Amino acid sequence: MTLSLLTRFFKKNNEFNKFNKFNKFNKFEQFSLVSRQDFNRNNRNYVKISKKKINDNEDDTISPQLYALAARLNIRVSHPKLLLQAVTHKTYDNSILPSSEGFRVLGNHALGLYVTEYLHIKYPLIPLPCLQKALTGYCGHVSLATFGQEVGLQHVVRWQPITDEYLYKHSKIYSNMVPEDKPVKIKQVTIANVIAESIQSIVGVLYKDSGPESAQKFIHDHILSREVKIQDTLHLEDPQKELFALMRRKERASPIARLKGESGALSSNPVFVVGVYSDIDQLGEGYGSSKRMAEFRAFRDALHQYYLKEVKDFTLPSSVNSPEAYANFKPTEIGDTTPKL
Amino acid sequence: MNKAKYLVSKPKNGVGGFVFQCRKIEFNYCERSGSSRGMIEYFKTRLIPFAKRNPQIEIIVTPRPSKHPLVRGTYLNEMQKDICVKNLDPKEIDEYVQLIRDNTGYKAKARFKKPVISTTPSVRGIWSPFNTRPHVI
Repeated sequence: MTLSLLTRFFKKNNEFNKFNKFNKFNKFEQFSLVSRQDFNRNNRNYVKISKKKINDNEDDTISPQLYALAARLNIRVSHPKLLLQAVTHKTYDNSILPSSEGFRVLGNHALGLYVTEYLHIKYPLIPLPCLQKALTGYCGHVSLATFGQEVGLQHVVRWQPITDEYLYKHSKIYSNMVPEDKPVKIKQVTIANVIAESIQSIVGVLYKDSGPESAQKFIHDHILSREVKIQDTLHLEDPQKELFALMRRKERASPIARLKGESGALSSNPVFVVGVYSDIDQLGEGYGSSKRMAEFRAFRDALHQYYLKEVKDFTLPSSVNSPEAYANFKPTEIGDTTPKL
Repeated sequence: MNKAKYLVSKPKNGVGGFVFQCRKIEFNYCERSGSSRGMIEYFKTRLIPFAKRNPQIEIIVTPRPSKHPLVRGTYLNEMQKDICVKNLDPKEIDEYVQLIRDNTGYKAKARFKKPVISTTPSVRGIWSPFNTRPHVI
């Protein structure tokens, strides 16, 4: 019964809509057929219609800043439009070029591959959560964004902040399937995000266009050459407990801390040197102005010595390209990567 | 101990690949004034080879009427360095342009007080109680 009433209201309103100019101030506004787009302040749709561009090709010109960037980063691509494609974000409207999403996904995976391979071989005994932290430290969004800004990408990327038209095309917010009560989360697009994603696209373009070796060279030159303090990934609250667990797992004697030497114990600046031993072998050493401090540092040093052990000479598996290299390839020893600390 | 949620990597320019610090050089000149004569001669003879040798720098030439000629360099850290090249020969202007090209955005005076900026520890090591040789009678 109520449905028929509603339809009657609807029909009445339709007749009014034809003749009544001021639809918005209509008493039956809730049932009006005006689209939701009209009620927003930044209505890009209206703006676009008013500023119609005759020749859309003018927007896809390559700026001199892009050429300069390519020379600065030593990027050699077969066609410069590929670079322009990589640097254009998906939110950018006025482009005929195809989307860069494919390159971005490919570049993201290539980055993950080369950085993980490098870290895993360089630190064979690193625990998994530390490896993941180091990985985000090198090729996470924040690091890529800082790298991009240091290199001048912010003047080259083409993007737009999220507008109604973009939402209309890309999300379900304006479809009838989403109920009005539930708030829909929209991922904010910032210049940092755009820069990080454009770097991933550039890596993808290099991989596809010039081959995986050029992508690897780019990553090693600009991303892996940066410094991430590997000690910061290993966060220890109780190093003594961790070391005991480690020794038990390794089936070695439990660690004992011994005072190796001291100086100025009753003065204002004492120095105590403590060593941590498992039977005869010294695992770690620490100094401090109190015995407890020195002991803490000794246990922490022992864990750093074990988990963050660095291998200096290694050959990366991805650098094995020719049959001669494959014949001479000596794989590095596989370490014991713990899933948890 | 960095307890931040995200670890961020620090730059080490030159360890892997070298990123050139000067990103843009802007030349201002006046068509009529006498002080820009050398500058105009520089544009005709030396600027284009310079631009070809340095593809990583964006070069802009704009007239600035009734003002002395100016060379302005912009760097990757968004700092600028300007040099007025009034009444100079093209050869002398070339030297100044080379100076701007070779520079970074940082102030030159600070590098006299701290010539080495590094994240790695010192070569001989900072003193630690482990590596001492106690005095023996």
